[in-house]
Amino acid sequence: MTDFVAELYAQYRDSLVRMLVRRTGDRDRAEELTQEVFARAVAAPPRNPRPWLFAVALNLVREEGRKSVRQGRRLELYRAETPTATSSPDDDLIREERIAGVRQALATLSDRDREVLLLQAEGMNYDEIAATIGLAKGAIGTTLARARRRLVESYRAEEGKSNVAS
Amino acid sequence: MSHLDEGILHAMLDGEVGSTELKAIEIHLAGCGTCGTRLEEARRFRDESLAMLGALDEQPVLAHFVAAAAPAPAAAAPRRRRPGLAKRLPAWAPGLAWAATIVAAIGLGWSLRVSDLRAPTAGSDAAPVLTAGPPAASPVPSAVAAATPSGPAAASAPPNEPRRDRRPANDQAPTGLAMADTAAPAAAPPVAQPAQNESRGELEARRSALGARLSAKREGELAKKSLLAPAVSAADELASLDRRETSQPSISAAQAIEILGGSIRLVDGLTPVRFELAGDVVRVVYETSFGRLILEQWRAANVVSHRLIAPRAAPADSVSAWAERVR
Repeated sequence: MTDFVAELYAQYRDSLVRMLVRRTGDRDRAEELTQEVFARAVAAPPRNPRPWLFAVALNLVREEGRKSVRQGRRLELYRAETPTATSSPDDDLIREERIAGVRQALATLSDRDREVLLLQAEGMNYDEIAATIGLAKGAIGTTLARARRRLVESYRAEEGKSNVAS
Repeated sequence: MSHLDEGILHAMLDGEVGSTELKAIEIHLAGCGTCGTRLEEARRFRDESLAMLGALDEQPVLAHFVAAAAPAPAAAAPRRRRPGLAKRLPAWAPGLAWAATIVAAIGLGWSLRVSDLRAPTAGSDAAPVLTAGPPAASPVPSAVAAATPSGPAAASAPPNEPRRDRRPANDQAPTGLAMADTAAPAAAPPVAQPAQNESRGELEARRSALGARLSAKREGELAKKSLLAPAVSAADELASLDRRETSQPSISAAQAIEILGGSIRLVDGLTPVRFELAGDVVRVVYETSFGRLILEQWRAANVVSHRLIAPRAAPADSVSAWAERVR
C-alpha cells in the first residue's frame, strides 16, 4: 500500500465501514467492501479521495445487488414475520427492535435519498456529497429534506402500528 | 411573499448557506411565523434522523454478550483502544472485544470440529461443503452405525474406505472452548453416515438419542470447565434470549451435520449462533443487525434442500448477498 493510500485508510476507513454497515446491515460485508475500495484506490489513486472512496463503496453495494438479481437465486427466500412488539422490557430487545425499525424506514427511501442521508451523516459537506453522488449541489438540501422527513415519518408510522398492535 | 423552500431550511441547519443568503433568510424568518415553525420542524427531522442512523451502529447481540460475559472490561480496555478511537467508543465498547473473542472462539471451536472439507462431487454443487469431521459420541442403534454413506456428498469416496482425516475422539477439542459445542467421550465410536434406505423410525430413534445427548452435554461436562465460564454463560444467555423467540430445540453443529447426512451449508462470512432441529429440518441461526437470519436444511430422498429465511427488516440487496454466500 502506498503512503498516500495508507493515509487515506487511516483517515477514512472507520467512516467507510460505518456508512456501509448502516447501508447494508452486515458488518462482515461492510469490511469486505471497504477492503475492496482501498484495493481499487491502490490501483488508481484518486485525486479527490473522500468523494471517490464513498462513491466506489456505494457503487460496489449497488453492483452487488444488481449482480445478485441477474444471477438469480436458487434459494427460496422468505421474509420472516418478526414480532411487532416485545413482551419483555429487556433493553437489548428494545434496541434490536429500534434497529429493525430504522432499517425498515431506511428501506422506504430511494437509493439516492438514502445515500445522500448516509453521506451527510458521515460529515460530508454538500460539495462532497454532490461530487460523490453526481448531483447538483443545489439539489442536496431538497434531497436531504425529503430523505429526513420520510425516514422519520416512516419510522413513526411503523412505531404507531407496533403500539396499536401491543 | 412566498415561504422559504424546505431544502433551504435544511441547508441553513447544515451550515451550507452563504452569508449573504443567510441574512435574507434571517430577515424573512424574523417576520414569518410559518417559516419559523417549519424551521423548527426541519430541525427536529434533522436531529431525529441523525439519531436514528446512530442507532444502527449499536450491536444488540454483542452488547448482550458483554453484559453476560465480559470480565472486568476496565482492565482490558486500555491496551486495546487506540487514542483517537477511544473518544468515539460507547461505554460498553471495551467489553465488545471480549465478546468478539468469545464469538470467534466458539466459531473456531466449532469449525475445528467440522473442518474437513470434502471436494465437490459430480452430483453436487460446485461450492465446497463442510462435512462432519471428527467423530462425536453417538448412541445410535448398531444397524445405523454400520450403515454406509449415502447421498451426493458420499459418492466420491468408496463406501468401505476409512476416512483418512478421522482422528481419535480425544483430539477433537484442542481448546476448552471447542467443548462448548459438543461433548465427545474419549472412547466414542465413529459416527456413521445414514444409510440410503434408512427408515423413518430409525431416523426418529437417532434424533431422540441426539436430544438426550444434548441435555447431558449442557448439564454435565461444560459446567466443570471453569475456563469456559464466560463463553458458557454467554452462550446460555444467548440461548435464553433465543428461547423467548423460538421453541425449537438446540443441537450441536456435529449433530446438525450428522442429521443432514454428512454435510451442511452455511452462510459464508457469518458465524452461526446456534443450530436447531425443527422436525426434520435443521436450522442454522445467525444474528444480524436486522434480526435473525435462518438457513433451513432438510434431507429428502438423499438430497439436501435448503432455504434462507431473512429478517423482515433486511434490505433486498443484503438478502441477495447472504443467499449468494450460502456454501
